[in-house]
Amino acid sequence: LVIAGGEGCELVTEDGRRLIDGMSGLWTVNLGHGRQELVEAAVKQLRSLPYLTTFGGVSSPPAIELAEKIVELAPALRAS
Amino acid sequence: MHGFTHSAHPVACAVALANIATIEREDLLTRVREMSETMRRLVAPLRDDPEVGEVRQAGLMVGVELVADKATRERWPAQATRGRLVSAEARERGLLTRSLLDDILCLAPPFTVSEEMLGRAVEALDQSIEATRGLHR
Repeated sequence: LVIAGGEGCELVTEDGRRLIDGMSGLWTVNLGHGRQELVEAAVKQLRSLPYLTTFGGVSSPPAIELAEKIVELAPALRAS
Repeated sequence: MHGFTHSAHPVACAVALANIATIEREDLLTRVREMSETMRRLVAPLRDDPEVGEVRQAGLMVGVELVADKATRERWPAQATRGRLVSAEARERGLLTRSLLDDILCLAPPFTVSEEMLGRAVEALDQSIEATRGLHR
């Protein structure tokens, strides 16, 4: 089975057959396929800094911002 | 501490932030809670299937467990590939899913799924269980 595209909650095969994406990829495609704001976020980041290794105490703004957001949302208490 | 080549990949992090922002802006968790009740209603009849041992649900995530014996909930032997028969049939009926731990069919649609599409997904799963009954090794 070869999937050539995704539209909303559906996947589209090479020959145009549509299948419901029953597991959201692997629980990853929360918003469905083809969300323009995600495409734009990816393009913007690709333009400013497409890749960085975090080895050796190096980081980038989106990594720091995401870590802070996850800590804010996670149900555990912040480690003191 | 273990590091990976793509740990904290800036593009992945930027997309994740935009993803969370949309979930918050569109209040999708409220929508998921509401849609979960629709899902609960839709999957309830599966419990009456002679091969369904249990239907488990957390939010929009559902696991439909197929068993060899409904009374004792004895599992199919792995070589029966009961679950894989169902997921293969489901593909033909317009639903892509997998069976986990051999025979637990999984449904976990995107947060934006419509009631109509949920209905079609559950129907495809139900019909796939029925269509493959007795075909296991």
